[in-house]
Amino acid sequence: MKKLSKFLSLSFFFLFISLAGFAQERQVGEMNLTDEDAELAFKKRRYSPYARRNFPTNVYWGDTHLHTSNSMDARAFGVLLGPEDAYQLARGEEIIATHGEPIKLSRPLDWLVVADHSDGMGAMNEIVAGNINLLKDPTVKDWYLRVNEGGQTALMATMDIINSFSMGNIPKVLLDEKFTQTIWDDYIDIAEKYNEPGKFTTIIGYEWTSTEDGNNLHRNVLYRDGGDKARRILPYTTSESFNPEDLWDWMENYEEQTGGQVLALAHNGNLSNGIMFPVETNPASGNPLTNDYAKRRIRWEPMYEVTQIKGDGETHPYLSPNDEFADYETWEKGNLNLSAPKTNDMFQYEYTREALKNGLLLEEKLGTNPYKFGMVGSTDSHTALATAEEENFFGKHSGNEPSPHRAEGIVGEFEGRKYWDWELVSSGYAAVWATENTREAIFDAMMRKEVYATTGPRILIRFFGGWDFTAEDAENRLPAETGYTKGIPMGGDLYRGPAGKSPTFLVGALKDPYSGNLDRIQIIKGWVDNSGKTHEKVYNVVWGDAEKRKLDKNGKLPDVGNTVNVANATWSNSIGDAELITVWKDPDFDPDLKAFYYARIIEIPTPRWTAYDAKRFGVKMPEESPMTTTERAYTSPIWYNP
Amino acid sequence: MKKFLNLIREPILLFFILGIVLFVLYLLATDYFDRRNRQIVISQGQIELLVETFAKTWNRSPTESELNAQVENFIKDEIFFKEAVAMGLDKTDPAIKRRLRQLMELMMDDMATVYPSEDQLKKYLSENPDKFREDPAISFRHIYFSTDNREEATEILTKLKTMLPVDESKFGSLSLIPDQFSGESFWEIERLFGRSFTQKIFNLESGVWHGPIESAYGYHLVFVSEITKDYIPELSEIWDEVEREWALERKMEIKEQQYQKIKEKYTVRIEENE
Repeated sequence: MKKLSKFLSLSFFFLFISLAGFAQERQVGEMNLTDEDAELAFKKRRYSPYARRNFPTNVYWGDTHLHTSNSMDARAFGVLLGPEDAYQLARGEEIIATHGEPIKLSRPLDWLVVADHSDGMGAMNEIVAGNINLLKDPTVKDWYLRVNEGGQTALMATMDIINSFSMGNIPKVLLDEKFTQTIWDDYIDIAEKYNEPGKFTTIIGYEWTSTEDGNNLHRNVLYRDGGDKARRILPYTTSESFNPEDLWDWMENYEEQTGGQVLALAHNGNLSNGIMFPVETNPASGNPLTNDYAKRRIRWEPMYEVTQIKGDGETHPYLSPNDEFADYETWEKGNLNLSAPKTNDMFQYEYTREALKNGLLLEEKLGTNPYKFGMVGSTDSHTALATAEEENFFGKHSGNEPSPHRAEGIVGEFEGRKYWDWELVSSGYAAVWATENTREAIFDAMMRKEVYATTGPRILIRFFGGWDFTAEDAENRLPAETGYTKGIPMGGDLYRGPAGKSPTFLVGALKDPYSGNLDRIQIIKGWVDNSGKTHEKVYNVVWGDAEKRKLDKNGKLPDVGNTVNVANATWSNSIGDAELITVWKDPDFDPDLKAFYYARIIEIPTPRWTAYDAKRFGVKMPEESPMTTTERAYTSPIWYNP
Repeated sequence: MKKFLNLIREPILLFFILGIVLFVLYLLATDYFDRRNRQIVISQGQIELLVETFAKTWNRSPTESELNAQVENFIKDEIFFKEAVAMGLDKTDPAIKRRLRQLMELMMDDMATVYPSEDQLKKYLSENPDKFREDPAISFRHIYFSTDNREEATEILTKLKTMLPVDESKFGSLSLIPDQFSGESFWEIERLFGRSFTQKIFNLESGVWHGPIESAYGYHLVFVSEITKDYIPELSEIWDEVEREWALERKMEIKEQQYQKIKEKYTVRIEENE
């Protein structure tokens, strides 16, 4: 109770200081919007002429995972910027980063989830919000008047206030529940203020940061709802449980209690030390996985964050030895805090491609595929800055915002295992094919998995599966119309088709105008054979410079080349293509076997953020640091269910 | 007796006795405070707070075992907290300082909330028009040529300019972006085509074909049918945005004033190197 009193007294002190300023402002009544006004405002928004169609014509870019000063660890690392700053930057405004450097995104994002750690977010329920009604209480009014007098009188009044709090003589009006405010409330207020449907969407969310024994089982929770529902229930914290199943209970309860909707997405299986995607036993209980677990997992976790600042999670070279692009920004030294080293047998439970394969297996075994998820990328920045572009990378936390020697620092270290700052990945973003830029439309697209991940560049991707796509469909000027008419989009399901037919896929990608040309599009297939063994295969389906590059007999392509000038941190789009599109038919199709297909788009090599740092600061990077990167995108899969 | 009185008058002895008394008192007091400090008292109020927090997370009251778990957790927190404070850990960890600063700032945030008058917003809008400027918009169609087909583009342009018949659909087109746009804003075009292309086409004379204009994808022949200028909306249309921006600026000012007021209580001295 003593701590409480202290809070109250301090808040009160500030209240008086601000009331002095308050008196100078004039409070105005609520603005009344007439129907006419509302209609006018609505008309003013310019929608794409294509927006009236009944399928998603726009891809909306965002980040599901940004931390601000409301996260205790972010704050400890020095960030001073909060959700307000995060939204401003994401909307396209120029702001000042914590260390004083001005920053602006090359292009605005369309939506943002500020997802601060829930632990510590409900801790402020003792704080008194400023409210003019307080002055109706005679004691409070007396304090107010004396504080306003200034000088010695004010000091004495402040002492009085502190004393009465510590004695427990708190004016009743202050204990009234409506004056309590949490960080969660504050955050929601800000999210509501910045949410502009059609223009910029603030999706409410938080991170549930389960890290028992240093093993990462983190999940972000995203709301479809506005503040009216989200603020009715406090976020779930790990002080109650480290078990994701308890989080699902909380989510279920939230939906029941409020009539709202939430989803969760996990990230950094690569730092879970073999427990992110369990197959045989449930790590929380040690018992075999059940159908109930599988059902609940896919009910609440329709997406996974496949790429981000602490490593890429598509696949690992140990799992995909024949995939030449498998080793991308791999973090494989241990769990989250490096307290336990990594062993090879853990990889199969940590990476998405393997999980997608095991999901098919589990569907046969349990009846439900727990890993039938869509894929997005996000930053996990702790800087309030959603930066994922190599040339505009502001680091993991405010300690490694741009400065000459930031790449030489250490992210984490334990018993000789360590991650260096140059290993940080400038990745990624989430792309959502939604019917409009609103909380509801984006959330619904996430639920149906019509989403994809990139490591930063805004590559436009269409991916459809069906039984009747033909080569002409790739030459059509309206591939989306064809795609939705003749097939289903990414994230969808194909069922048994006409006898003798193999599934066909219409896939197209347009380069990011600010990034490299496209090297190739690949389709990655995973399946389970009759003996219950999982398999994967990577197909090159369409590629740049096609007049010069031909597939060899094993289906491999010659390298696209490399135009990167590391010293100048430049490259040329003289190789690769601006746009790639094709129709591909599975040549190895067996109608009796469960399978999934997703597209991977590879860019030509471009400078990595470390090259921009070396050039701009005139410093030498550590020898081991890569200086070029091949950015990429992963679509959500399409599943074949015989 | 006299001797005794004399002794009492001896100041040194007096100090000595007083010293012993004070020392004993001190021992008793530290023992008392020590024992008090080693007590974890959980008031009914504290339990109510735990119940309330649980209720806010689940929208129901905790069961007995859930509440016991909360209380156990609270006790653990308290014990570690006391031990850590006894070791002085609270004074050295920068994370704790920053957390406390964060709590202070959050309180200041709450307190610094202000409400504007219409005049204040009008003034703010007129002083910061660029913050609220609506993008210009454009309607155009384009024919696309890949990077190695610049010459073909020039040829076709000549034909288009001399009104020779050209079948636009015969030429290359990007499949994934439309070949016609109507009333799209500057930034929507910019994010599709890049900045320099967008700037160029927004400066084109409408009603004639232009090109070849380079974009990130290749070359384009462009026919602009209409460009609408940027403009500043009326306050009534953007009240919420203006209020948000105005309030943010005022809040920063007030928070800075509050900080300066607190800072006045302190003297700050930076020691020189000897």
